[in-house]
Amino acid sequence: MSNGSKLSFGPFRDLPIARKLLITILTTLTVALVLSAAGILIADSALFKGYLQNDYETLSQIVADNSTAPLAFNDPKTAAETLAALRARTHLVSACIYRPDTTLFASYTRPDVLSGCAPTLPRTGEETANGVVGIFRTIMLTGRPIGVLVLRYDLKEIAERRALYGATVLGVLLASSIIAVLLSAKLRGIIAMSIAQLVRATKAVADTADYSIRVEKNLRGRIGFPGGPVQRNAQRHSIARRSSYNGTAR
Amino acid sequence: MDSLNYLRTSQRRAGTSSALLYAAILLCSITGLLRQATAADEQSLEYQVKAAFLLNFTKFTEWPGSVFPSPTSPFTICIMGTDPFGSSLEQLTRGEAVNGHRIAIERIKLGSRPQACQVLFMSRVEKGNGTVLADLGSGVLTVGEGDGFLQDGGMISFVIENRRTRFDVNPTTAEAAGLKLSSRLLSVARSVKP
Repeated sequence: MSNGSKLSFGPFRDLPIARKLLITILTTLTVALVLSAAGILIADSALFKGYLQNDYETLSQIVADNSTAPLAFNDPKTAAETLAALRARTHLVSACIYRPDTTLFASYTRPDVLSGCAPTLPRTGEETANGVVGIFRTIMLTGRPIGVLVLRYDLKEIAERRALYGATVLGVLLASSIIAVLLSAKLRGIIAMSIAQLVRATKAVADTADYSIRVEKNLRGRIGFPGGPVQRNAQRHSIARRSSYNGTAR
Repeated sequence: MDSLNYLRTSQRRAGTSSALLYAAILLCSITGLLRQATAADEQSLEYQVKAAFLLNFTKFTEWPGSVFPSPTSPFTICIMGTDPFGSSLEQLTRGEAVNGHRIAIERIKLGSRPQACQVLFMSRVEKGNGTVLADLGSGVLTVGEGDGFLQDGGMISFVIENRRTRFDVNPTTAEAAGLKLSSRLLSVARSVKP
């Protein structure tokens, strides 16, 4: 690994094994979360724009249906009351109903918006600009057009949703990192301690040539070897020493 | 000489007075005519609007299928007694249909029993609406004018409010006659009688 690996981890290699384990866990967790969040955000942004379009199309149909009687009986007050109910939709910029002669019949403009409904029916496309989308719907009564409804809504809802999703992902990332650190403290202890003990035992055997040195029985299970590694190590050391000694003697 | 001058002056004065009198009469006549013309125009406009409303009532009302003897039977709007619409109703309803039935306009005499009418209009000048309305069968939308029409048993009554044409509705009477008035129609009515 040390000779064959082309990757250089720099200071990471010199860190204690416990720290390495922590960094590994957190990096894996962060990458997995960020990638999945990015995927969800991108997909949601694309889908939500279409969803918004459908939602406002449906809303325009409902408003148009409820505006037939006011238009048929020339009652702009009732039409304005119908439109005023749209104030619950905070991203709706304006709603305008035009007569067949293109003059304005009734309107609703969000209080914070300066430019409301045009006095005459705008051309299709004129209402879609600067992050505001316009929907045109012909108001029909028994198959005949009796007016036009123009709804304008802004796309800030998408940005708000992205911000909310981003904050949620950040929160989840933070919470999961804290939980991961707490959990890994316990797990790291088990793994790192076992390896440290093993290293100490191996070093002691190598230094003292005392092959009677043993590690805890539980440690074997934690490391994952069925037999005692120190014994096998010790056997290998012993064989190596004996061959080396024999060779020298020869 | 003096008497001659006096005579001339008197003649001149008399001529001026007559001219002024004629001018005043002419002015009054013109004003009167203009007023009459304006009133007639206003009335004409009022009934043009009412004619449009009358047609639109048919789009917000459901008739039972049984009121039409056959699929080709016309949808008949009857005007009982005085017809204030002139030709405006014909012009508006030309080529129009209600549920696939072409619209026909029929004028009937006051007091006669309306036959095969889906809408019956009675103008405010006709008195004794109550008797006619009580004798009507089911499936006829009755439209009239003035506050008393609904009390007489009518369903929709035109009223003028702030120089605008509006209407009051009695959906209970309509329901009793087998008609369903759309909630959208009720939403634009000036008042809905319980």
